[in-house]
Amino acid sequence: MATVEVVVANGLGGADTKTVFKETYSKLKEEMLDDPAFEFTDESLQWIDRMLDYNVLGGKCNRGLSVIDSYRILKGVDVLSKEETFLACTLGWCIEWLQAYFLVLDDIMDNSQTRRGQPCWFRVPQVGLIAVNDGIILRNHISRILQRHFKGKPYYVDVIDLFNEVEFKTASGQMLDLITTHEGEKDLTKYNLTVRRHIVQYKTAYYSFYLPVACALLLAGENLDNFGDVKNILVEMGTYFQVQDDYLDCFGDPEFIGKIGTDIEDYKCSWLVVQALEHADEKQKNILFESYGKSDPACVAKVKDLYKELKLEEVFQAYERESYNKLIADIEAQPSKAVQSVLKSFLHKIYKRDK
Amino acid sequence: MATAEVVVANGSGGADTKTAFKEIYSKLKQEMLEDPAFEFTDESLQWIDRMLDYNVLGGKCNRGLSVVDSYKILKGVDVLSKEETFLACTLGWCIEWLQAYFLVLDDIMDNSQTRRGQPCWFRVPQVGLIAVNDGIILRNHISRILQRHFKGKPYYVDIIDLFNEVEFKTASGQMLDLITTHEGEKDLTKYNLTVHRRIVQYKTAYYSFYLPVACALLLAGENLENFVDVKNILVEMGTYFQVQDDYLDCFGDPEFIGKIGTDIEDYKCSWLVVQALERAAENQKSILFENYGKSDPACVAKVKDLYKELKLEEVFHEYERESYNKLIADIEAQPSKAVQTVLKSFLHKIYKRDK
Repeated sequence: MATVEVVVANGLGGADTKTVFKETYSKLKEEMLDDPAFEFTDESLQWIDRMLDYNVLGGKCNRGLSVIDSYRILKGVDVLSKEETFLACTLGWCIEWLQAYFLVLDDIMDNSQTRRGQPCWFRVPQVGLIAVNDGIILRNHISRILQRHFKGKPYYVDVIDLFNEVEFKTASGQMLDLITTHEGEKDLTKYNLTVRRHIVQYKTAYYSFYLPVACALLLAGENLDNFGDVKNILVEMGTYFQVQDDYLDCFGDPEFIGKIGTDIEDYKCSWLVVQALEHADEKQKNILFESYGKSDPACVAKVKDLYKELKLEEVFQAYERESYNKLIADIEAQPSKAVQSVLKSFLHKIYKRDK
Repeated sequence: MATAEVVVANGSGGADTKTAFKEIYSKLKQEMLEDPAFEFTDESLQWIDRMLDYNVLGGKCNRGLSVVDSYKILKGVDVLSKEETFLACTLGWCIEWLQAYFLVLDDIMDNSQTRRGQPCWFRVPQVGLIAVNDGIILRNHISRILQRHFKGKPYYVDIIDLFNEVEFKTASGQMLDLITTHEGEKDLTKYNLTVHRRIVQYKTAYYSFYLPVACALLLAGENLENFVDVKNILVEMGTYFQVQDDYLDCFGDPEFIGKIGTDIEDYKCSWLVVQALERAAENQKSILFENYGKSDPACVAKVKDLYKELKLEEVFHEYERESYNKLIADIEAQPSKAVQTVLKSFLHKIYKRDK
């Protein structure tokens, strides 16, 4: 390509990036519906069309968009070429597709009711457990997209290995969560900070924080083996993010967070209950043992009252401040200024968020 | 490696291949339990250990073993080196892992009771829908195995793309089966030969017949794009195999096939019901409309009686003979004698089988 076409202008990066990102979704979706590897029937085309819009769209796309933002920072430019924008958006959508696949299956295993303000996909009439296969289709779309647009790129194998490894870590974290919840329902003392950190690190932090930056690094021609520290910082950031999620589930404003939290009812290994177990005396622990994991609103209220009694809001704020300070120190120890900018950009999007 | 170690001796290939194959399962399983990409807890190790033995072992391993057999024929040797044997067995196990993943999830979506004479994995106490994530773990193990043992091989990308494409076709075929059954439950006339063939081709034939030979071809250094005719023959063979399965589900001896068939009760788009719909008079069609898909033994008996009335056993035998003749003709049109031998080996394993 002799002439680089300018797509994203300085100063309009935010809004224009989202527009281009959405356009790229339409193109990728169209490609999935035209895939020559399968002979689609009208019914199957309609099914996938609806399934994709229902599950891949609807989120904030922060993970996907951060690939483009990070890539731009790493390249040190305000403007990406059309090709660069397309490839970054495509990897961003692969992450959104990956999350959609996880969430469809997680909702089935958690027997959840709603997601992003609408019924979970498996709860839609005529879907039911067909949603299991739909989750698999979503995962396979990532491989199809990567093959179509990245095969021939020198980093193609690296992108595949990256997605595969992050998927493995996430599925393993989910397994740990499922097994731990099962064990915890029999003995709440099985919940502790080590177990919780372990679950959160693997289940969420790698795909939500590390994967977008790793994609940007690969696009920028980097070797991921040289970025072990960056991975560690992003996993720490992702762990902090999930602690915020656990906090907001109980203390956040439902108007803001977009849902009514049910971690207490669902017997979740939440940071809050783990902290409560660490800070509580014997009598307070008994309240937890008797009331945690019950759907009865009176039991939920007892747990929440105990959280307040133990001043867990203050404990969280101290944790938040300490985490921020440590993350900033680790970021500023990185040799690359561009990488520092990427990491600070991530941190500032989540620090003291309320949803 | 200066000296190739002889592992499989001429004349004892069958038994020794199975022994070596089983040993490699133990090695691969051990590697999965020690994967450095995840920090396992004792509970998660026990879980995966049991999950793997329950779901990956227990079958006849015909798909996996055929990678080794095919590779041997393609190389024109009776003996493979230790390294060659290991790589062929490893790809064979990747196919067995792939099938295990499909079957675990299919059993959930079909609400099945038993598999290979034991309860389906999701029916085991304390498993339930955790089996969904276990299916995902099984799939991720394939990527881990491939990365560990084939990264650095010149055909690594080709193997990944092969497994991804076959998985996509299989999941798409499963989707078609689920949607078609759903539609067929409302209108049995939606079942026809074209639909049946498409479901069978995508859901079974690619991973059961094409994938093993494609793996052997890659090991032999071939470019799969030069073997489209071979792919077509194997897909035809796989289609014929599935028609046999449909026939045996109804007419096979339960002692031999290892299960009591329930295609009629389960409203399956079976070759038999499709043939019946094509041949039946109006009053016979009404019998199908009124009795197909019911669990009542009296209804099942009426359908089976109709199959006999329509002489579907004879129809099947004629189909079998015609399929065999066409397959042999297509095989013998192949320019490579080694490839012909591989394909005939497959065909003769399934021709006129009774289980």
